Amino acid sequence: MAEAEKPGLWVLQDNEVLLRGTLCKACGSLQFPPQPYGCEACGADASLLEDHVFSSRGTLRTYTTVHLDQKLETPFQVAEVQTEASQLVRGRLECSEATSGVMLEGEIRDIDGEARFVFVPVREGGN
Amino acid sequence: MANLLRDRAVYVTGIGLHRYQHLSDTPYVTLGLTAVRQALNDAGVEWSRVNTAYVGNARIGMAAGSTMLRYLGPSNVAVAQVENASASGSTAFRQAVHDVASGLADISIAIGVDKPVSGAGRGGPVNAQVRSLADGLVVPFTHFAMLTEKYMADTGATREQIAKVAVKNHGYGAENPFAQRQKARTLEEVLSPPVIAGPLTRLQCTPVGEGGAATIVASEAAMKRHGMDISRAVRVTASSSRLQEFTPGENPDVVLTKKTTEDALAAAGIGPEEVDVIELHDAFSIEELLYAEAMGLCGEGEAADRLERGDFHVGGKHAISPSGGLLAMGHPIGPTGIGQVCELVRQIRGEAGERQHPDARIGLAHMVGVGAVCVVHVLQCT
Ligand SMILES: [Zn+2]
Repeated sequence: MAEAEKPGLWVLQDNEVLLRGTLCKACGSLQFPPQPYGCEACGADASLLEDHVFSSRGTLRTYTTVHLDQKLETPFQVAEVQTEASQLVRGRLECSEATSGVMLEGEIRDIDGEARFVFVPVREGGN
Repeated sequence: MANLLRDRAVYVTGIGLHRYQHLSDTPYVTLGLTAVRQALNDAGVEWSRVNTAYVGNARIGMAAGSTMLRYLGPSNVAVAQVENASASGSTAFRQAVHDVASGLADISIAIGVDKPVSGAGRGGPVNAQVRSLADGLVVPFTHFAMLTEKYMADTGATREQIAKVAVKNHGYGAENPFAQRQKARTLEEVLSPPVIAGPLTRLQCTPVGEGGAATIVASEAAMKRHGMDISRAVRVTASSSRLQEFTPGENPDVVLTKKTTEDALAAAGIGPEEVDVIELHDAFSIEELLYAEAMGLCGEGEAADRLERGDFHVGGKHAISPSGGLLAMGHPIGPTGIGQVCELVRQIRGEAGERQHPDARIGLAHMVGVGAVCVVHVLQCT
């Protein structure tokens, strides 16, 4: 899988990993992942959508461990996270003591030679 | 919107199936025509009398329907292929029903035929090019493993209780000659490895194979005119379909199922407690519990206990997936929704043998498809 597979889903800013979503200027709805087609909440035209970055911090809602995959090394964890901006975001998880409600944030890790987004526990004393 | 099916009686008069099975060398034409010829024979009507045909499939590509139907001999039938992901067959059936309800056709046929060969390409979800962090990480079984984890955390249901859905449905598959999986399984067998993701084991995931299914749909006048047996006809009293709405934070398939089922039950003028037999989209064991609750067959969080009590078994309050469901009968995509209708017709006719739910009078068929869409039909005895 090429690095270009997930263009622009996250940005690094002051050591924090932010997620890139779509903000609707008509209804104020923030949607993730970003898309250039139209607002799913109100139907506004694509011209009313703008880029918007938001914190990847949030609480673990649910997760599972995958044991079967044709490409990736197993087992690996996948999480559904409720971010502080109220987005439900699914992504890779690396957390040895995952329990519902634990605080997570995005981190960029080198996996198989590619920079990839991973949810990890918020570090104590972190900002 | 008009309630066409209240104003005009539309009947299923014939059913036919080719057994669901692993991908084989059998051409799709053979799978489809086996089901079509059986359905025509069951209805007691000639192919040349059929006015319109809808062929549901998602995997075998362009013109599969028209190519296949030429081999039935001379006909001026109007043919269209219908693709709606897992709900392709259900949507083909809906088109046939509405052709007859509107008077456009006296007799229509809905056919489902498919093979897992990916002839139709990558599909909308990939071609829309909306990337997410879950790309390559979350496939359908991962999604349903996460829903299972969430359901267990929210309701206290155990993995054994959830696996009992598969024990029940494999049991019915063992009694269904058209099922892909025809082997009864113990709880231990269902829970044993391979584990696919989270609590989901292989026997709690649907097998996607090949097969064929067909139903003949006719008006009362056409049945009389062509001498079809009205005593074995089953009336279609509701057909509902919806597109996923924007409901962030909620499970879209559950919301869709709830609303589409409400639409269908309201159109049929019945409540969920009156439905005797349900065929639903149990591609993964957790789905039966989620959708039983969404349909109003029991309260939220109660389905696992109700299942253990026998409420969802043949002979219980509502028989769910007496065909074996997607878990055991299988999920060849195009045929699946029409195979559900075949099972409901068999149950309402009282011809389901070992799997017969006593006094089955009202049946409900439910499919969801990637997109997402949901299609629900209600069938009733005449
Ligand atoms: Zn909007």
